[in-house]
Parts: sequence; structure tokens; C-alpha cells
Amino acid sequence: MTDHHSVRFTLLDQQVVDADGRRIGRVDDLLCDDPGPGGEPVITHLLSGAEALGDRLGGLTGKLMAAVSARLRTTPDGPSRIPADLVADHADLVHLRVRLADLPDVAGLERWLSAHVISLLPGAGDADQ
Amino acid sequence: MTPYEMFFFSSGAVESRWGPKDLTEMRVNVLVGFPLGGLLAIAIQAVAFLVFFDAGIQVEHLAETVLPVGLALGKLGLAIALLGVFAATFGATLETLFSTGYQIAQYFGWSYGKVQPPAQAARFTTVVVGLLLLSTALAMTTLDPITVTIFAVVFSATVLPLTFLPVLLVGNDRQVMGQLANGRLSNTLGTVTLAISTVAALAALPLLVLTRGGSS
Repeated sequence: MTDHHSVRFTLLDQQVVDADGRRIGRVDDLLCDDPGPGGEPVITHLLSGAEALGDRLGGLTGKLMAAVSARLRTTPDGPSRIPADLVADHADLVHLRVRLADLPDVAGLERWLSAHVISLLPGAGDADQ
Repeated sequence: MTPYEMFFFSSGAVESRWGPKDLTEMRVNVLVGFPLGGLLAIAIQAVAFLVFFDAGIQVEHLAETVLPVGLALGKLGLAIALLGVFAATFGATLETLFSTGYQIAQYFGWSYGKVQPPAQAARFTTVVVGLLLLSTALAMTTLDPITVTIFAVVFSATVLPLTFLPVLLVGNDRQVMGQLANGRLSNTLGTVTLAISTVAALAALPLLVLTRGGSS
């Protein structure tokens, strides 16, 4: 990711898709490395999930969203992040090189609901097509 | 046209990967479906007026709306009408549930829909199941269904222009639509529709207050 487009239009809020084409979330915020005076900041991580989005939105709704999401998180270190070098392509959707299963810190709510709620329902493993 | 239909059909189109070759099917759906729906709505209102107005009956429940069919066509007609009521309400329940699920899932970028097993769209499925339980609980209170309907229609009218405008903008985006981007006729019709729905949206809430929820 060395291009010089505005990240507001090319990256922020875009759909993140894993190597299987599965939708896993949106780019809710970005982490950058600040190289100091004169240097250009480099994006190191994509942040995805309601905690990052809530922090970014601010206000009462944002604070509430971030607080609930942070309380549900099982890992200690901040909103769930995806290393920027795992991004294969972000021309349209943000395509990752890896599968969701290889990113244990991402989409925690999806995993928990899948294991504890939805998989208990009859037909949870059936697809339409 | 209500906002939930817009979300429901556009999400369905994305999910089943509609392309230019599906345009004919879509046009048939719209050109046959909408006039048919309008005709049926007018027919229901007409027979309801003929039967209920002279008799001085105030319709308070969905069940009473099939009375004209029973009077005109007898038992068999009544049975068909009841089947139709069941199909319509069951279908609309699924549509609105999925539509709300689609909106929430797409806002956060979650996987959604029926192309993958529900266990692989767990957040979406949970929202749909949760809404079904919540709305069933709401229906089991003694809340008057007609009041709920009036409020629901008014609030749909209020948000309709906000749902329609993005569709009109995407229709003009040549990067997305290519050769099929809107021409002058589509844009004129679209802009007129947008203008009418904006007027309706602005008038809806004041009218709800002034008429005390349609009671006067």
C-alpha cells in the first residue's frame, strides 16, 4: 500500500473480505506509524469492529458502541486489528490474503454467536445454494 | 414503495449476483408486480367500501377484511382469501425481518444472507432471530395493530427520500453502471419521484400530529 490516494475515499469504511470472499467487517479506523518530521506516515494496521468505529464516531452513540464492544472483547489490547501487509488488493473491496480463521482477534462476536447461539439452531449448517 | 423493499430487493440482487442478463426478469417483476399490487389494493378498498360503509361497520381487525370475499364468493372464496392473507402476512414478516438484518449487517460489513450457512453469518442470523422474537413479543401485547401500522407507514414515508437518493446516485455512476447508467428519461422520472417523496416525507409527521394519528 504505497499509493498516495486519500484514505478517506479508498480505504476507510470499505468492506473487508477474507481469502474465501467472506465478508468480515469494514475498515473502521487505521493505525499509522509516524516516522517523525519530514517522513510520510505509513499505515500499519486496519482496525475493524464496533469498538474502533465507536471511538471514531464519538458522541454518546459512539461511546456506548465502543464501551459495549470493549466489554465483550476477550483480548486485552485495544480494538481488533489486521496487519496492513495482509491486504492483497483494495481497488474495490479490501481483499485479505488470509482466511478469517487465521485472524483470531477479528470478528470475535461472529465467532462467539456462531459457536454458542446459531450452531444450536436446526439447519445452522445448511446453505441455500 | 417503502424503504424496506428497497433494501430487501437490492440486497437480494447483490446476494444472487444479478448482472445485466437479469434485467428482463427484474423489469417483468416491476412492470407486472407493481400494477397488480395497486389493482389488488384498489379492489380491496372498493369491496370494503361497498360492504362496510352502508352497514356502518368500523373495520378494526385484519380478519374483518375478508368478509366481503365471503359474502361474494362463499366458503371456497373465503378459504382462498384466508390463504392469501396468510401468504401475504407471512411473506411480509420474512421480508421486513431480512430487510432490517441486511441494513444492520451491511452497515457494519458483516456477512449476510442465505448464500452461506447461517453459522457463517452468525451476527446477521442473530439479528434476524432477535427481531423475530422481539416483534412477536410486541404483537402479543394489547397494542392496537392499526395504530402500529399508521405509525410505521408515516415513518417509512419520512425516510423514503433518504433511501431513494443513493439509488438514484448509483444509477448515474458510470464506474458502477457502465453502459447501463441512467439516461435522461430515467433521471427525469427519478427526480420527479424523489421530489414527490420528499414532499410526502416533509408532510408526513406534521399530518400525523394534526390528524391525531389519522383519527380525525
